[in-house]
Amino acid sequence: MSDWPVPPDEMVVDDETRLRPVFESPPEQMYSLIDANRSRLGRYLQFATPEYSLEDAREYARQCRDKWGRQGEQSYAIIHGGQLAGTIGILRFGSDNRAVEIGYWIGVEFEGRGIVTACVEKMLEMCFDRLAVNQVNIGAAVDNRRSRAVAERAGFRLDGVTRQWLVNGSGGLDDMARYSMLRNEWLELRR
Amino acid sequence: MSIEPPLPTEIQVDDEISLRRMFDTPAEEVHALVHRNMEHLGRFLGWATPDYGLEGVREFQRNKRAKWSKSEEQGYSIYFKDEYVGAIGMRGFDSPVQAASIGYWLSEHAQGSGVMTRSVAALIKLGFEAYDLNQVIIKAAPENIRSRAIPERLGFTATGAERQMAKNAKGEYLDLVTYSLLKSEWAG
Ligand SMILES: CC(C)(COP(=O)(O)OP(=O)(O)OC[C@H]1O[C@@H](n2cnc3c(N)ncnc32)[C@H](O)[C@@H]1OP(=O)(O)O)[C@@H](O)C(=O)NCCC(=O)NCCS
Ligand SMILES: CC(C)(COP(=O)(O)OP(=O)(O)OC[C@H]1O[C@@H](n2cnc3c(N)ncnc32)[C@H](O)[C@@H]1OP(=O)(O)O)[C@@H](O)C(=O)NCCC(=O)NCCS
Repeated sequence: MSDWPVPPDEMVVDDETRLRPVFESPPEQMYSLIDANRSRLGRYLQFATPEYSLEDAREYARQCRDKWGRQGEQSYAIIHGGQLAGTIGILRFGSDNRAVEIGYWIGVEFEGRGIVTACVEKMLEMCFDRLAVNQVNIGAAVDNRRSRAVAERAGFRLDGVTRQWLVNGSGGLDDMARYSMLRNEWLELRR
Repeated sequence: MSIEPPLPTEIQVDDEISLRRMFDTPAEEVHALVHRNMEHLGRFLGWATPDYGLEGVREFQRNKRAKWSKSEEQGYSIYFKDEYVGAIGMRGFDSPVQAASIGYWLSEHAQGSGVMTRSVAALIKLGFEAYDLNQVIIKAAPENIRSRAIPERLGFTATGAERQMAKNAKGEYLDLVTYSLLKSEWAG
């Protein structure tokens, strides 16, 4: 468990896009991005409830700061063209079976440009090269076409569907398509 | 919608089978049964290695005893006709979607009498009736035919696999076939 390296603080994805600790973006900015995308995010993400508030954004930033560099979860802000565009995080690092999960969302005005796929590819490189993980997982609601397309575009394999698993912003349960990429598959893809 | 461990300290499954808190079984007995079944268990369970020691069992039991009342995981020893023959555990009481998973092992000599199928059915009943679970999950390696037969016998649905998510005693990765049973599908 304790032999896990720590993920980096910052990552350069491309000329326009970089990842930095989520708590370095002012909670006000994070809140207004989430607020502007509330119903769209709430369709699939538990935190984006009708009640989500600035105080929730502050609390989340505090928690992320406290946990940063420790095992468990580490969440990055996606900065595109200098603007806060969304987040991407690594979960469950430090687990015994060297499997981690990644999750993401992006504001509607940044959607459809390949930003998330590029961020996922950067995270894969970091996970396999730096953290030496054995596998990376992505879970997306069965009907979340865009999220599943990100996983498929990045070369993940569909392993199955866990039923009634994801809680969305209205408290409903969605079935989750499970994707994974193994270390040897990633090495193969990169060649 | 609340799930409140602890589970009962003892569960009478039927005339022949009872489940008792895992840490109430003397550590020496656990240690002896595991060592007698080392090869049998090690094919699918990563912890069943020759260095499985008595002190480790004691430590594990102390730990579980301390956490019994609030634990997200609760384990039982299985007694078949009053003989200690294996273990079964349920975890996930802290799940936000009320999904718990069940794991188990049985001494080789106690196989073939439905001891595990009956024990699993008893925990499922408890989970759905007393703890308001929404679903129960069981995972087993594709090659583990006997283990897979249990959820299949109990009407679970196969929901795909998880690749390289477990290890055997040699440290080799195993895939896991995942099964789930929803409360709405449960025959009672
Ligand atoms: C899921 C989500 C992050 C996907 O975002 P996205 O913008 O579709 O994903 P990408 O950034 O990879 O962009 C892919 C699109 O850009 C296009 N694109 C343009 N240039 C591209 C490039 N260089 N590389 C890849 N795709 C490119 C692709 O063709 C694709 O377009 P299409 O959707 O019209 O087919 C976003 O829809 C979202 O935030 N949804 C709500 C929250 C959510 O569901 N999160 C996931 C929970 S599991
Ligand atoms: C997995 C394991 C518990 C299965 O044991 P098992 O004895 O096959 O399972 P059961 O106790 O439910 O018994 C089922 C057998 O009893 C028979 N049986 C008799 N009475 C029965 C009853 N009332 N109900 C159900 N089955 C009954 C069944 O027909 C079946 O027989 P078969 O194997 O000849 O087809 C055991 O093989 C084991 O511990 N393996 C090693 C550890 C392991 O793999 N653990 C699981 C990791 S996922």
